[in-house]
Amino acid sequence: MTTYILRRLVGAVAVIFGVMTISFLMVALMPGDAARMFAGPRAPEETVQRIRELWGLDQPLPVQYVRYLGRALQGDLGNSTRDQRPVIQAVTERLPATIQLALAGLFVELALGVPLALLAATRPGSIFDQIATGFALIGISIPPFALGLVSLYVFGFLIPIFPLGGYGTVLHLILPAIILGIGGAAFYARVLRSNLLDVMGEDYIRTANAKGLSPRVVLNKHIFRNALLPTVTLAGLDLALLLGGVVVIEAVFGWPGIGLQAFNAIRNQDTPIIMGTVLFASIAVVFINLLVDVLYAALDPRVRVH
Amino acid sequence: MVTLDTGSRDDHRTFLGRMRRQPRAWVGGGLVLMVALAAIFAPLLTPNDPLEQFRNGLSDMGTPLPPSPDFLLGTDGLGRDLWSRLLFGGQVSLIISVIANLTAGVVGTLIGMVAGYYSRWIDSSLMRVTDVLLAFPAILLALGLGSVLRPSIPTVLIILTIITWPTLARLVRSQTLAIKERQFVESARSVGATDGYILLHHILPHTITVTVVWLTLSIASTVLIEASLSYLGVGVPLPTASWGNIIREGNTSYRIAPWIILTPTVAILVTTFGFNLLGDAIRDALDPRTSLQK
Amino acid sequence: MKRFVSLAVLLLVLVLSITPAAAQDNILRIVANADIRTADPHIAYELDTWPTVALFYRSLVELESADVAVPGLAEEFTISEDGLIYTFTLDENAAFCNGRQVTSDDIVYTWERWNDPSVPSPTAYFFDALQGVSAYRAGDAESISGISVLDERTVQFTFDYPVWTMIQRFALPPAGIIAREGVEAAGDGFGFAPLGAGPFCVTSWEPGLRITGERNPNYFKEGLPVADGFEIAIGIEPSIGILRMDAGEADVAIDFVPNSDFPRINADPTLAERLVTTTAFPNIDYVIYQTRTEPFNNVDVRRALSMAIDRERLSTILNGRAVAANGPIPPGVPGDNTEVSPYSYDPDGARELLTGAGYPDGLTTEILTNTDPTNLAVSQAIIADWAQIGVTATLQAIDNAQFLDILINQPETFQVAMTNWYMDYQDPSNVYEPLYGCGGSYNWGGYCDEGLQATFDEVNLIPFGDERWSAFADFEAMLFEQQPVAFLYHLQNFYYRSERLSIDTDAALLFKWDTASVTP
Repeated sequence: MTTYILRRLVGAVAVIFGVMTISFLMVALMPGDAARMFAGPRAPEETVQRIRELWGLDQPLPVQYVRYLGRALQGDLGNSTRDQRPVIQAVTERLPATIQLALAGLFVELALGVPLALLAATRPGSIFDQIATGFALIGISIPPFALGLVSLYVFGFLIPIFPLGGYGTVLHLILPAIILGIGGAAFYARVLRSNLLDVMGEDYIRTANAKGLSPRVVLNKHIFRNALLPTVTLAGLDLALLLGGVVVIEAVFGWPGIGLQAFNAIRNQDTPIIMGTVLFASIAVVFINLLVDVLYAALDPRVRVH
Repeated sequence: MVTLDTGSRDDHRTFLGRMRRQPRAWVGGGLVLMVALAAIFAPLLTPNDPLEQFRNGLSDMGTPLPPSPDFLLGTDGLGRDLWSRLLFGGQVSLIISVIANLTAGVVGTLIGMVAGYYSRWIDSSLMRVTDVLLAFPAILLALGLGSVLRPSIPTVLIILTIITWPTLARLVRSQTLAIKERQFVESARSVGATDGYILLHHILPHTITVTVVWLTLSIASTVLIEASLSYLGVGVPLPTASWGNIIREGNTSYRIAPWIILTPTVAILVTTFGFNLLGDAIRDALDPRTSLQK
Repeated sequence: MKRFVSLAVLLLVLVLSITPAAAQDNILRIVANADIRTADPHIAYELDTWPTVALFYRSLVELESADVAVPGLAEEFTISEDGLIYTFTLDENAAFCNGRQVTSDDIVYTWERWNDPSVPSPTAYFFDALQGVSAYRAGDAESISGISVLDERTVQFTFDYPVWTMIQRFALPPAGIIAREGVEAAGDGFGFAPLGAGPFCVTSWEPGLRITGERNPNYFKEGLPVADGFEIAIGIEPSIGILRMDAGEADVAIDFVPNSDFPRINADPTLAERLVTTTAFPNIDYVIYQTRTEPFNNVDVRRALSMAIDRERLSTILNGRAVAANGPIPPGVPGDNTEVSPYSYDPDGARELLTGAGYPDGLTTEILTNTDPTNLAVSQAIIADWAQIGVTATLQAIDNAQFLDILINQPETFQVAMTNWYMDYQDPSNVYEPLYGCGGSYNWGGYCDEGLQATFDEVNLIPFGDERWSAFADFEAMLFEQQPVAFLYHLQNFYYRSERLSIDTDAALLFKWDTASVTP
């Protein structure tokens, strides 16, 4: 088990190194001039050249790359080229908002997805199943940003229940969390439903049913528990997907998390912030995956061999 | 677990027969066909040029017009006919999604098969690349690539392909891993078949079903991502209409002209819903064990 | 299921219990769309950072109108006849937020930091004419020789050559007087920890979220500021900001009223009253031609393309807020020519001109612009207009950072670009010099007419007054003939305020924050 974890850990570090390299290359290849962006269009060229020197942008790419890696190892991701604040500080400041939104989204996912799957799986083929499956399909078919805009229009403007975007209270959180969660809930309901159906087909469930146990007990004690393991790992993986979806939702709702930060950084050519947000997001994804895999391996020894 | 109580035996055994029995296949196929026909015959179905900015297409105050006989779905902020833009935009969105998925299908299948078949360092290096790409938040990768390359339709295709193939490569790889241990691969190898021959004639036929199902479902999500990219400004360049573009331009005026963002949203919904239904049906028809009719 | 129901009930209760209440206290509530990146006067240059700087800092003078300066932190000032020597005497009451009196040393420190080579200031070039400034910037001098302290409250600036717009530059937000101890205490974080002698003092700054401040108890004007403090909420999209102001949850937005909200507001008399006009930053939207090469080095091609643009329709698209441009100088700015009329839409005439210039089949080109929604809409309208005369143009819309990179670092690579210019100070020279002067820093199309340049150099030597303005009006007509760019229109921008707010604006600071009153 330890060697398995170690092997996976090395793999995770390699992936993060790959992400850092790709993001560095991507940012280096981006047309644009961060120094000019900072100084503004009206600043004379000498000013801009001075900024390039101050930031080390006049150095050749390999030198910049080695410097970047070296500093990153010491926990220094550089300073934002827009407001000169340390990237670590700027990103960690925004992290709570994103985590809050992602967790709330996950909550919506579970609160919506699990009952739907149960409803569908306990009466396969029934009208409930059709409706639940249909809803799930619609859920993954709606463009989240459009749904966000429409919901802002309807629940923020026509029927002003929720604030029109922004951050602060629970009320601000509800709409973006629902929009973020709906797609996941739909996805979730589909997978959990088929897991439930698989388990229901197993012999021991038939036996339990034959023994005359009440359907409720069978559902709670046997089916649900067995179907839950793959579902929990799915939730872990899904948190990773959620982090990706967060960019669009944050842009629509003006939610001050790292998704919006990354989006603005790309528009402003704030390269250290772009690399910082990408790094944070991918570290989160890699480690959630790692955690899920290790958990899985701990529960199912067959995985380790492979 | 397929029950054989109704219909002829042949009907259950052939793929088409199983497809025919599923209402989802009919509904999904119908929706996809409808959208595809609307996009293909856009020039015949629309009275107006999608790029023409009509002098009578804006109110006196310069605001977009609501739906009327002249403009079936109303106009946008430049006085263009939204019905025309919707249909021609559908053309662009669909073509891009289909081409990107076919490319990703080829790349993903190839890399997945090679990685699964050869294992060792080829496998681990290829899989490490897919891991890195999968660890990147897709939309950030897309936004980043979108600013490295100038916004254009080929750029959108490249972005969509890059963020789509890794998932497929993983699927195909695990299929290949299972298949290459099977008896017929062993026997082919023992009679001296080359790796290329085995990959093409023995492995590919068994992985192609995974690819087809995945492609159908993936077109649905690609339509969504393409729209998101256009909405965030790194997609199809204006003034060409695409569904994401229409939403992006209507975004600033959704309170005075909500129809601008509503119509493409519905179009996207119908398209992705159709492809998802169809994909589900194909999957079940190819693999009856996971069918709904348990 | 029961838990589900109770959760739903709980949510409903939450929703009903938190109803937004209109503000009752004496705090000025400001909303802003983009994250305000700095309040450092020497770093700020954007339309949202200048008003922010003005919350915390005051300059030596203020502008009563575009060309009339009145005392600010300086209770009196004199300009020598030849325009070379400026003398300022500080107001006795001028004091920083920390209570310390503003002295001559603070003025010297402000200008030295502004021009310090380690401070990358985009606005330092305002004072290129200051004596000894180049040596100081190069690191060859410890101080700027053109600034001398006469006594504790009096400072003299000496210039190498007269620049008649100099007094306006002394009034702008970047010329706000800063306190040395603030810079030294905050270091790199000075942008978020302002210390000045303005109406308000910062109390908290959470980037991307909010900035708060309280009234400066040591403010030099008796009884001001009116408000007890302010709060800026960041990340509020402009049209959502307007809804907030309508609901009484906000008082004013740092962003202009967006296109999509203008028709609704303008049509409603009660709402229209809340539009705040500002005389600061007159502007022009224009299309730059690449005049270095074919086909746009031909004046007839430029005229034809300019003539083919339907400016009336552009005005409709912009909800009637655009005034067709008859040249680069915005209306209301001294020196504007009121006799020349803008090009009227004439596709036939345009086609004729184009044929005469050797392009009977039209031509193919590409319009470069940034992703600003107004620029996108206007560029697409122009593309449609040009299509009528056989000019096929494609649109290349890129993020502002890349847009500026191309215009500034590779100006010879674009063909046509659509952008705008907001004047720093209201003198025609601020339009001509950077945009059309030979080698001008904003002259990306590379236009250069030596005859016009010589005329400008003469006209610019005339001191402020009617003679200068009429000479510039004639000059504008000459420039218009040449169409170095397609002059499109001047946009009338409005701010919006809540019902309870009253505030004055001026030509340099936009908002005069010290006059903001939120008590009904």
